[in-house]
Amino acid sequence: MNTRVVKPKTRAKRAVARDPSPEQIAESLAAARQALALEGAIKVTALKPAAARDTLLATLLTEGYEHAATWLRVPLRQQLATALKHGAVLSEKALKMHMRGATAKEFTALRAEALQRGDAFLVYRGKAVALAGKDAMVLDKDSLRAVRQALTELTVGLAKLAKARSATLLAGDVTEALAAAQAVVGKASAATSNGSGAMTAVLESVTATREPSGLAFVPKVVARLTGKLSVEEARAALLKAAELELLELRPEGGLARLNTAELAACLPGPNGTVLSWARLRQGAQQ
Amino acid sequence: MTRAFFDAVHADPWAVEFVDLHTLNAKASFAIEEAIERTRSLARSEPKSLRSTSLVVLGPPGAGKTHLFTRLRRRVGPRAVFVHIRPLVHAEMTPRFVLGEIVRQLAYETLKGFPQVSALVGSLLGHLSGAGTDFPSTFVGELSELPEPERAARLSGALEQVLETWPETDESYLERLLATPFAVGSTRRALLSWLSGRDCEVAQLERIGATASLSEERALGALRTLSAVASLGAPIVVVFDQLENLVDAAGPNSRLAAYANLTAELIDTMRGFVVVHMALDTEWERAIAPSFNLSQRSRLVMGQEALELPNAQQREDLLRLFVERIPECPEAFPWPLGQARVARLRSQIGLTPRMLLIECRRALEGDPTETEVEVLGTAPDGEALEAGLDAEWRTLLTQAREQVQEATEQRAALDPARLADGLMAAGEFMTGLQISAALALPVRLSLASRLGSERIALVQESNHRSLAATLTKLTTLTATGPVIALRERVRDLPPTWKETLRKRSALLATKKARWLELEAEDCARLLALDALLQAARSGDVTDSRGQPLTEPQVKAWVTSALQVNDWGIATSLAPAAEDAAVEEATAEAEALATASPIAARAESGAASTLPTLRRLRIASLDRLVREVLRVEPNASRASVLAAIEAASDSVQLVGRSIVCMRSKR
Repeated sequence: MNTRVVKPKTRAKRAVARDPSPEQIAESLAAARQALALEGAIKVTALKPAAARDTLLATLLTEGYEHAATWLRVPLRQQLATALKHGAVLSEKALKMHMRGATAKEFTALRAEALQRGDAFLVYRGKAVALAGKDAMVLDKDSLRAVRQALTELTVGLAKLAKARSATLLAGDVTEALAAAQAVVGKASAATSNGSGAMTAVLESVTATREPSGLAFVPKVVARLTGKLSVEEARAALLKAAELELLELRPEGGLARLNTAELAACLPGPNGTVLSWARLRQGAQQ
Repeated sequence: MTRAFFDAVHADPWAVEFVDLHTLNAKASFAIEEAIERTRSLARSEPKSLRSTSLVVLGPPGAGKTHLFTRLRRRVGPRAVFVHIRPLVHAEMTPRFVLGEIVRQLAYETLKGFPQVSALVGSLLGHLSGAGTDFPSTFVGELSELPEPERAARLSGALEQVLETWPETDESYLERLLATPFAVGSTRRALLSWLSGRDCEVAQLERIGATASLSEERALGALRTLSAVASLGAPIVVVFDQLENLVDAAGPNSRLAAYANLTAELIDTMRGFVVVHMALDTEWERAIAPSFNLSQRSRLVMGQEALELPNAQQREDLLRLFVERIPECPEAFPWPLGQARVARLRSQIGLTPRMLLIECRRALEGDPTETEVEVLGTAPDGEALEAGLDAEWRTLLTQAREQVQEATEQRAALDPARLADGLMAAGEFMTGLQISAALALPVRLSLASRLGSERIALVQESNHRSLAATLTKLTTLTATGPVIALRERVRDLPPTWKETLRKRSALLATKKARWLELEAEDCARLLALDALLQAARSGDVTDSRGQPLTEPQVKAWVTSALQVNDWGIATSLAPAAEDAAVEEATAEAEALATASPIAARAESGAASTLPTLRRLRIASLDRLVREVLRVEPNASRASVLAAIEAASDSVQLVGRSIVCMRSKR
């Protein structure tokens, strides 16, 4: 006969199980945050100790994490932004694997929303379809039209060649068409590339000039970029970085402290305000 | 939620209606909650090593600094006591001022419907008895039902326990603090008045068994006691908001230095306070923080949080939350904004929650304008500026009137420090007068005019002995120059204060003193003007379209629209009124001090005196004057007395202070 020995729990142990100390909760929170940062999502049941699960869950939810069915996850939008950071291009299958804790339905909705908001691009790579991040070097409509126009004669000629096997093309015509297309692509790439470089420089400048509060004074950020970027380019890159939510631009709240030179370096804000402070958002800091 | 929510674009720290997006600024909330939790935990485990915590929260105008206070008050609720302090702009803040603000707000209700003082005492008693701190009101309720001797014994036991832990505790202060939740009506008011360090009336002192009001020297000890005992159950979170008002753009920033010294002392010598400093980020970085020395900075800036602006998704979520609160909303979101407007607001950079609320309000009002990002230096629309400032002024004036009315009903004096602040604010708009802060009490302000300078003392004392002592000091001061004694008219000296009246006569007899009375309406105006100018400096004043207005714009409007020179207090202070005022005050004082309390002055107030007395049937003269003042704010004690004298056949004066209708035979 199989007898089961029940080990009596001591009172202290029970007390611990029922009422975890604040230190225990803080440790568990730190562990959960680390796991979320690494994995993107964890099972709710992985939040230990179980007695403090509700507290832990509530705290993490206030920090912006999402609770979906049995999962606690980094918000899906944030996961998508991370996956497609720096212009990454991923097939749908690969991207699905990056979205931890998401159902197929949620993924489809997220994909549609990202495309609609311009946070991602749908790109054709041969027959395969992939998603590219908003920083990826893609061609806009004008460039596509220019490429199509540059290659029209070539594609028409190639199509006719399929029927008339004895005919051929002049090497010079092909080279000319390809060079025209290459010029369009090169121009677009250069523009994107310059933008990306400027943004990196601006983010570095914000990091270097920030005060203990985490705020960087925009005129200082711009001044630090002298020699690398013009004031206009720096301002444009700041604005772009703000649009991409890598940083936030904050309205001036001071007592008319900005002089003319500082005002010129700042950006106009809503309702007549001046955006004079920049602060890196959490994602960009990481 | 009502439409009023959209009209009040500035967060009210004690708001009942509240919209909160918990993901926004979760980090800042968490930092403060963590500090509260750590304080409580340390107070219980290592009470001897408990210290205060100090955090800084920064943000642009409208980012949600005050909103954060409201959020924490709701979330942490009775597990902490929340105190919101707007700094004094002109006068220096003292420990007594801080004590007064804390105790005043202890009387405010938590969201659970009981006062913060009950939360504080209930949590403390719950912890000391081992019952836990989760249900403070239940604990206070149970103790209230006990017979008086048994409850006193329990409270005495708790007192001993605290004294064992912290022997430096002020025993008599703690004793009265513990008794406060169990007292009712006038006794509770008397206890709170004493605990706050205000000057108490004789009747109040008798009611609570005290011989004197809490002296200035005991203020620090009282604060130390409050902070330590609260930390065991419901730690006190003191939030100093709008610190940018302390910045003196042209001066040496002495007010900032004084503030840093005061708060550094609070942090150094008190146990268990969680002090939060809130300021505009620009002013903090460029003026406030640089003015602190290293030692002050290390104490004040233990942690620093910059409030974040909402990202695109949070902007949409906030708009949705605002719209959901519209009563009888005819359509679903994005009504009333529309898809295009929401899309624009999602993508616009630099939007604060307040700007979003204003957008919602404008959409609700049917404003179809799609304002794109405006260029730098756009001049505000004149009509919008007028309308916005007018609405703001009316709101502040209404609030101030309510405050004055409440103080009158409770027979409490308005805070002289706040009135002094208001006077200095008004002084900027008084032609030919310059009002500046003075160095030592009882003189608070200095008035300079074409005839020379005078020192102003706000003699708001409630106790006749304290007032007499102040008047003696002022009489001595007249040897070195003229003085002005200012007091609320509703707190006119009763004829029974013979010694005090004699001292006032002696002061006025020096011919170097003036006795001026502040009308209730003037008090309200001063408080409202002070609040308006502080809000302007904090970037919290907007025109009717939501565009922020600068301090000079607001000051220009005050100059043109409020006619401060015509206010009663301005005409009283002006040199032209000097001689007449002295003569009038002297004559009145002499009349009161010599024989009859009835002055032969026929002013307004006569009409409502008899109907009021008929309603009351019998009342003290003070009460009758107060009641008449409610109906006729221009009435005075003299006019009421004149009316009584005129109707001597139907009204009887019993002694000098009781008045009643004669019975008809």
